[in-house]
Amino acid sequence: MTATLGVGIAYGGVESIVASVFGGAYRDFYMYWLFVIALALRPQGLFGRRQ
Amino acid sequence: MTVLRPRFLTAGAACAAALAVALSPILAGAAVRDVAFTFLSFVVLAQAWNLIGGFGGQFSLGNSAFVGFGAYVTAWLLINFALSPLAAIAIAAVTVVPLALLLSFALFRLHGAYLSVGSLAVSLAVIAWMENWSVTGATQGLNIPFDRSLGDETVYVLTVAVVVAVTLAAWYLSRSDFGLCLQAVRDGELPAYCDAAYPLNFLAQRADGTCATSDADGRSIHDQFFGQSSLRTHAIVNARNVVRVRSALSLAALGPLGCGISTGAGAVLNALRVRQGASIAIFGTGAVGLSAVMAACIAGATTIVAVDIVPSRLELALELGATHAVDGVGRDVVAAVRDITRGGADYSLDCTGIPRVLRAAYAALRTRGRCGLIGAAAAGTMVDFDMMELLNGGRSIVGIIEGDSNPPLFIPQLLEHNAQGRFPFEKLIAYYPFANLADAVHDAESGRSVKPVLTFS
Repeated sequence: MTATLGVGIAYGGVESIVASVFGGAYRDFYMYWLFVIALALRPQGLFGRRQ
Repeated sequence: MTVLRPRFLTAGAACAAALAVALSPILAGAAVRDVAFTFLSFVVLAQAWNLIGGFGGQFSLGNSAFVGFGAYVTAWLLINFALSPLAAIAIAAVTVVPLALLLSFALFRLHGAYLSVGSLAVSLAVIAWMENWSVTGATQGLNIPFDRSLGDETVYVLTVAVVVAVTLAAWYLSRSDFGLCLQAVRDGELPAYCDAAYPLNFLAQRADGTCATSDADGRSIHDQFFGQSSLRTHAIVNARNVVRVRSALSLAALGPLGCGISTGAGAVLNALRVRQGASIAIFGTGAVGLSAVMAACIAGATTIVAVDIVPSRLELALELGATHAVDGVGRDVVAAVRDITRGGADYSLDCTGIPRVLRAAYAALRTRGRCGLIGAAAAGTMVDFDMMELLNGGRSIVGIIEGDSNPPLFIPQLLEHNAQGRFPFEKLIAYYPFANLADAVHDAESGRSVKPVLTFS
C-alpha cells in the first residue's frame, strides 16, 4: 500500500512537470502514454512479481 | 465432370440468399436504406470486435482509437486534398496499420483486465491528442464537405462489399495459424493443452509439417521431438521455445528443467495448488516425483509421503523433504498412506503411469481429495476404480501435462527457489559423457541414477 501511494504521488509529480514543460493541453496525452508504457513493461505492478 | 457435394450447395445457396437480402434495400426507399446501412456498419464493427474479443477472448477497448484515427485521416484528406472518398478511406486504412503495429508491441504484452485498462488508456491518449491538435480541428473537429457524387445506391453496394470482405477475412482468420493462436489464448494460456501440442511435440516437426534438418541424401530428419529432440550436439529450435534464465548452475544442469523437473514441481504448485498444512502422497520418486516432493515443501505441505520400491530413492526423498517414506514392496501402500495421513491424503500424485499405482494413489485420498496423474502410459491403457467411491467422496482425478506451467515464468521461479536452497534439483542429476550413453540408460532403468544428463565436452 505504501508503494502504491508512493507511485501515485510520484505520478502526480511527473504530471505537473510534464504540464509545465509541454503545456497543460497535452498533459493527459503524455500521462496516458506513460501509463501504457509502464503497464506494458510491468503488468504485475512496479514492485510486484510476475505470476 | 465435377460433382458438388450437398453441403457446398447448401452453403452457396445460403450465401446467395444472404447477399440478395443485403442488397434488397437498394430497391427500397432512402429510409429503409439508411436503416440497412446502419445495420451493416454494426456488422463491420462486430467483425472487428471478433478479432480480439471473439477469437482471443480478450476485452480490448482500443478499437475506438483505430476507428477514430482512421476517420480523422479520411476527413483530413477529403478537406485538404479533395480526394475521392474511396481513395481517402483506402489511404486512411493503410495509415492506421503502422499505428496498430506500434501499439501492438505494448498492448499485446498484456491480457485480461490489464489489456482492457491498457487499451482504454490508448483510446483516451488518442482522444487527448486529437482534441488538442489544430490539424484535427481540436475540440471543434473536422467538417467533411458533403459529397453525394457517388450516389446513395453505389455507397450502399460498397458497404455490402465491405461487409462481405470483412466477413470472409474473419472466416479465413478463424482457420489460419494466427486465428488458431487467438483461439488458444481464449481457451487457455497453458501451451501444453493447446490443440496443436500433440502434433508439435510428438510428430517431431514444425507446425507447417517441415523439418529443420535433413540427412546426407536430403531426406527429412524429424528432429523436433518436444521442440528440440536430444542425443546430439546441436539443435534448431523455435526462438519462442527459449527461456532466458539467471542462474549460477551450469547449462548442463538446467536441461532437465525443460520437462520432468518442472512437470513434477508444476503438478504440485500449479495444477493441484497444494495448500499450506495439507498432506500429499507421491507415488513414484524418480526425477518427477522427487521434484514434486521438493515443491510440496515449498507449498508448505506438512505431511509428504513418498512411495516407491527403490530404497535409495526413498532415502533421497526423505533428504529432500518428504516426512514419510513407504516402501511398496510387499506392503499395502494404501493402508500405509491412510494410516500416516489419518484417514487419507488431501492430494496424491501418480508419477509412474502404472494403472494399479494410479488406482492406489486414488484410493489413498481422503474425502474431497485430488489425485493428479503425471505418469504417461501406452495409448489405450485402462484403469478401473469404484465409481461410487469417486462420487460419494467428492474425489477427483486430473491429468497434468508439463505441470500446467508456463515455462518462461515457471522455470525462472524454480531457479529462484533453487538459489535460495528450497529446490535443490541438482541433487537428482548424474552426469555421463556421451560415450557412456549405455551406462546412463542402464543406470536410469535400474533406478541407480535419478536424472542422467549426457555431456559432450
